Amino acid sequence: MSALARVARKFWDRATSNPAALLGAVIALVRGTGVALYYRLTTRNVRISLPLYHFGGSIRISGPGRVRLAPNCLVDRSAHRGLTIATLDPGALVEIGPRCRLAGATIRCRGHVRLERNVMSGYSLIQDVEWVSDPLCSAQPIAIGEHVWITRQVIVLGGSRIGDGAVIGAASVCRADQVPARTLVTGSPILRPVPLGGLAAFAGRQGS
Amino acid sequence: MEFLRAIAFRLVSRLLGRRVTLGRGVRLRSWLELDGPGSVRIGDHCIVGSLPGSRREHVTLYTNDPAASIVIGSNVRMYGLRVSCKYGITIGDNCVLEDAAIADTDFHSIDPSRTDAVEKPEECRVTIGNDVRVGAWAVIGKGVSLGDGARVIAGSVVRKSIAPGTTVMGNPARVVVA
Repeated sequence: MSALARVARKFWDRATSNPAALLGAVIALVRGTGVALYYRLTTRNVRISLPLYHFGGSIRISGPGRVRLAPNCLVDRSAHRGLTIATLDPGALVEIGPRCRLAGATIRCRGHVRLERNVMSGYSLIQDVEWVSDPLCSAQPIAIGEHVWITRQVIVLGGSRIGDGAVIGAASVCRADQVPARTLVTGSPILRPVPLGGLAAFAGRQGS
Repeated sequence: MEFLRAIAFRLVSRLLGRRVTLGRGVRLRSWLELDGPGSVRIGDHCIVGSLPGSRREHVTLYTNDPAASIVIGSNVRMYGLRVSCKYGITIGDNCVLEDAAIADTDFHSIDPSRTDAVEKPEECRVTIGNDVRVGAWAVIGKGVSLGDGARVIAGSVVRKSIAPGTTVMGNPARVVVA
């Protein structure tokens, strides 16, 4: 059986085993395409790459800064919010890597916020200035590594560097902290990173 | 839009009989929601708004008692602020309150009956000084007094008073060096 036939067979098996999920994914894809088209037509600074799966919540991107969403991202609803990105300065840059799954994330950026691929986020706040309403407040860059899981109600403030594969526990606040790769951190402020065993296998994976 | 909102706010407040005094030059960038029998006084040149992705799209100032009073100074910027007042909450001048929740009561008792909390009003009042900044998603509990120039980092839960000029962070809020 050729490779193409094998892929087609796998797709067919998945589709027939869960047709509702397939329908949901198709609808999400259509919605995501609509959102990407909307921002491409109405803005010059927001570029959303297809495919974008938009399962729920609303995607609101505002502000003069540049926003780049890489392909294969997914947006869902959490705490009645989808994805909110607000850039506070024309020089701001928000980069979201491929295959990120963001449900209820809010990103407020005046400088540089970068999410590598496969970041999964719940209802959380990523903000690179201390006081959003103060235009004189300086922004420190935020770098979130690949395969990071930002759980619910987490606040990530400017100057944070989160290593690959880390998990930030619920209701934590990360303020200018460096989170080591493949550890679990909790607390406000973040304390005592716990290494997550068996995650060496994540290095180099393409992501699910 | 702000102009219409200001007019609508004055009309609605009068219709609903809310005891509110707005200072000069107050800007309503988002709706200002008031509820309850207490009195609210907002100083001059305040800004009422919301931040993108806020938990709350507007500012809500609730009073739970006729004797409750919320007094807000001038040049205060409130974004997505939620205030629940039973005794008295005072906010000084030049403050910035982002997405915060301020309550001067526990509302209910720890007792399983969940009756009204037994509290001493003098101990519960919340006083926020001048030039205080409260970050996103912060919570300020009863009896807390924030000194002038205090800074509350995002996500903090403040349960005890804070000396002037200090920066606190965390749950419970502890002093951090800058």
